Amino acid sequence: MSATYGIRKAALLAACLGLSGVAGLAWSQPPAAGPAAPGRAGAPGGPGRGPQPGGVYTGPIIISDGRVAANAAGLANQSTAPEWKRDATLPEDWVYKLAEGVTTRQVSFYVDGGTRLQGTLFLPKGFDPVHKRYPAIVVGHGINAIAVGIEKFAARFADRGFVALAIDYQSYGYSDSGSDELQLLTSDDSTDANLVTARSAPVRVKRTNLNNVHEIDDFRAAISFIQGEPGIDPERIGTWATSNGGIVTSALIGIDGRSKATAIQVMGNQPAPWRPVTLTGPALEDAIKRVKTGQGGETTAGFSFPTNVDAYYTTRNRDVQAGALVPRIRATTPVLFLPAEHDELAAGGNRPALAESAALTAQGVPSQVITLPGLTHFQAYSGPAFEVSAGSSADWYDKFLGAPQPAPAAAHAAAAKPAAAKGSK
Amino acid sequence: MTRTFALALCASLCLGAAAEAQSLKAPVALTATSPLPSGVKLTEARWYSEQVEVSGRLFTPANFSGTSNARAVVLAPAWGQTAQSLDAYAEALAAKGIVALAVDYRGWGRSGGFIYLNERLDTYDKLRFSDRTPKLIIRRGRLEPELQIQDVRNAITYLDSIPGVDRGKIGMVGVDMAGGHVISVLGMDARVKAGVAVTPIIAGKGVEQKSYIPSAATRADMIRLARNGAPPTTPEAAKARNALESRIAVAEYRPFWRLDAIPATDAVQFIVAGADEKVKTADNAQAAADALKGSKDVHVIAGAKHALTAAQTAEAARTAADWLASKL
Repeated sequence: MSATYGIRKAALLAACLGLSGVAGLAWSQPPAAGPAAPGRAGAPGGPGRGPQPGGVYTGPIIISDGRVAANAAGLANQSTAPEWKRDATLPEDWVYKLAEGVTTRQVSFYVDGGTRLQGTLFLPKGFDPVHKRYPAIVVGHGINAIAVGIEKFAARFADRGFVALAIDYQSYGYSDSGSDELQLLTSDDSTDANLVTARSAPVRVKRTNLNNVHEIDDFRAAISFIQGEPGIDPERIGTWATSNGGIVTSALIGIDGRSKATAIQVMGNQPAPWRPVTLTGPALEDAIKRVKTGQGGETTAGFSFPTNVDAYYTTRNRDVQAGALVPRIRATTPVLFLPAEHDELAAGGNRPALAESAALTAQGVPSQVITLPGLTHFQAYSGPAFEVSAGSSADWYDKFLGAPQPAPAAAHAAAAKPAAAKGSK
Repeated sequence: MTRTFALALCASLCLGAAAEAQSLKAPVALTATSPLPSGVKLTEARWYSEQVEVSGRLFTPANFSGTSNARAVVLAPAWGQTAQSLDAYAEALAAKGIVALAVDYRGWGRSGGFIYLNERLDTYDKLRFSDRTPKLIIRRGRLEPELQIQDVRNAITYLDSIPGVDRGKIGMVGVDMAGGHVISVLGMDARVKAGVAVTPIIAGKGVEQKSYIPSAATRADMIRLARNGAPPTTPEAAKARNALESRIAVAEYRPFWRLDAIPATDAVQFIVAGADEKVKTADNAQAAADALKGSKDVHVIAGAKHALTAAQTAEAARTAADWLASKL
């Protein structure tokens, strides 16, 4: 493992776990009082030091885990064959072919006061927004990445009859930078007398602002967008995310009850009480640099699409206390976890997912873990693991979102006679 | 050709990363609402909240210097108010030797507005920073709790940067909705050790702590915003947009739920209006005080309505300054 890779890994862990007591990139938070940091128990090697020993799932079987057995030989090969070893996903892992009849469309939607986000909408074969109401899945990428790497999951869900929307988070890929990524390079002379000022002015545009707080808003905006899309049943929206996106979506479903089925790949969030975050030492000095100049220090983050990011992300992302939001997840938001047994990034392999799922089960939320046996973090995206992970996710959506339903008769009439519908208002 | 492009890209990258930050606007001379206590100085402070240059009214006590080791308090204005509305509180604090910084939220008072692109801009993620001159929309007058809370937390970071401020002794005063923000910030940010919530609105009592499910009307609003939410370009549209976004944000704002996270080492005072026509104290300040583990106090201003008069504000300011001086 290269030194750079190790650094990136440490940065991811700090952000992912979002807790004191975890070594960050350039600084360490002093160990906090209270419960131990999640997943550290049972991880003798410590996080980021190679494959972690996983645990065994003993919870309820809600959907069949038969895809694991059906792919057993392939998974075994994937876990050992040198060509399947992964420290990040590779371009060949992103490739997909649209199933026969599946179509795509680019869409724009808005978040936080007017920032344009972009997504790719995947529509199932024979998509008929006039006569049918479809369940839809919002699909989100991992840490410092872009949708290109995970569109294959959306494509698979569309092949299984769902509408799926794969999104780039704010300041990533084809989505715009927003208010927190646009620094005016001239003075802002607007006053309270003008709620809006339109002008051309020099700005410094920032990309890849790794901000999990924003990413929750991005997911929520995508849910709102898809709820209003013709042919979609707004009561049957699901979410899918991977890796750090699983922190974002786990927090999301603790905040917003509109997701009616969630699948989380290679991530889990140990339940923990909410507590105020500390800000001291080099992290505070960096925050001070930000308030004095508008820009703090930088570091590198991400694996498959690494770029520079603000070092501040390890501070800001601790505001997303996904573990503390677990108790707020409703029974109407069933959660499937698809961890890699030996996940080297989530300390304890699949154990954080086992812990979150057990907590959800205890509070009455339908939840299940299907572990990708023998695998590590970045192997989940391709080969037999993809078949198990994407296939089981779709099974979960089948179970809890169901199939397309006929549209109410009134909707047909309105769609067929738009003029008459308008006139009848 | 490819190589030239790569070199240009590299040059821009390096330039982007290394370029000097823009200098902040020069502070202006500010006038206090009433004569300043002896030795107290009022200056404008300017800093960044996220990417927006913001402004605050900084009151420093008599003989304040880089070696003072002084306590410091951030003051958060009521809904739709600016920093100036908090002069009485800031002066009372400064008179007791406490550094006081009243904040203009982003898009209010002397702070800059929220910046949005008003045209499509091609960008490239690996070119992390690029200086461009696109069409922009600058928005003001937005009222959203989570944005205001982040402004308060960035102001605390600014206080931490002032030589002579003791970073371990930071407090907060908030009025009305920002009284709820006092609870939010204490529950989110361990740097704040004491707070005073004046005529606070602390929504969330009695609401089951479960994920938010918007009403049909709010859901329709959220859909409208996500699908047609390009930045407004006319004053009328901006006014309607501000109202829409604010309604959506307030509907799910539950500072009461943060009470559990406030450690027993934090001290919180509630100053309530005895005849508040807007907020039921039993469900807000009193209920919040009852839920807290640490040092707490509820001070009632007899006969007061939700919007305090000047005399009642003076009483509230004295009370708050006494509490913070004793607890920080």
